[in-house]
Amino acid sequence: MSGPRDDLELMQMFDGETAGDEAALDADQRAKLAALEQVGDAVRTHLELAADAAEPKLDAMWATIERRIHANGKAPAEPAKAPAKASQPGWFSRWLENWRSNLMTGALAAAAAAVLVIALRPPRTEVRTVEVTPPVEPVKDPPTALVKSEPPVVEDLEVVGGSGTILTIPGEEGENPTTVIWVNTEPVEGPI
Amino acid sequence: MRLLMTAAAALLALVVAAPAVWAQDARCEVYEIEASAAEGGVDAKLRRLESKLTKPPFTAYKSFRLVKKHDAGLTLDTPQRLGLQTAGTMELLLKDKSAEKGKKVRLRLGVSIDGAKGKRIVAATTQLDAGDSWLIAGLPVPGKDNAVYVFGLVCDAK
Repeated sequence: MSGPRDDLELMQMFDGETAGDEAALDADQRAKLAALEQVGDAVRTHLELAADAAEPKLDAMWATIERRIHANGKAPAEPAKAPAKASQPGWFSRWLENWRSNLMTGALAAAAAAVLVIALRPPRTEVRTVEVTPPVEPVKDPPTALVKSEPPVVEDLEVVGGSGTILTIPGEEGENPTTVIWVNTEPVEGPI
Repeated sequence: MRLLMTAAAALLALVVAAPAVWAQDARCEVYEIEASAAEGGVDAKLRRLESKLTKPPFTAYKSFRLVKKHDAGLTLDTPQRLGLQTAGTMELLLKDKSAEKGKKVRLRLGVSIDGAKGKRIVAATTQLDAGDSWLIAGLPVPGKDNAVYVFGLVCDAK
């Protein structure tokens, strides 16, 4: 049996597709064959490492496929997620970090609106009903019309050489009567 | 200048006379009136007494003529004598004066009338409020049958 005549026959011999006598190989063909073995080892090692790395993802994918198969094509209910812990450190900080600018803009707009409402509001009109009782002052000098008056009284009357009669003329409204003393004497010829 | 002098004199007279007026306890107006049956009406100067003179017993008279009016300032217990044109004299005496709260000033006034020969004709004492009038009438008018003299008194006081 003779050795491979070219690289193609050498690769077929490396893959086991053709029988060959390694003794018949020259030094150059032996070096190429050794190189092919090294490249093959490297590729196999790389593939094994990649398969190991992809194994969890493939498991999860297969689990999903399996659940859908069991659910007869319907979308299975997602397993309940554990409630997010509000007190989980970093959650609020991250939320605040993401929405800080929006919050600041909203707060400023609200403050400006409040200032405008206060500044432009109509003047406040307050109506108070206060009951005031005027002070009652004593009447110092009552009006004359309200001053009590008394009718005249004749204490004594003396008519010499005649007689006298006391008469009263009724007063008008709010007025006292008037006293008249009528003297009856004899007619005189000369001055009285 | 004349106007200024007149004003100054008036002011001086007011300053001098005012204390004398204020010192008086009452001021009285005395009216000498001749009432007769003849037509004539009430003298315009008797306006203060007109409402009395048009009522009984004066309705028998149709004419009331003012003969003379006297103004007399009275001081308590000080007689004031007036010379009458119709008779002899009239003496006024303010016997008392009271001013109670809520009442008009009350005067106690004595009046006497004497004839021309000094003979007493009538004397009376009356209590009356300040501002009220008092009439003494019936004295005959010499030579006139249907006429009488009427004396009206009105005293004011504060």
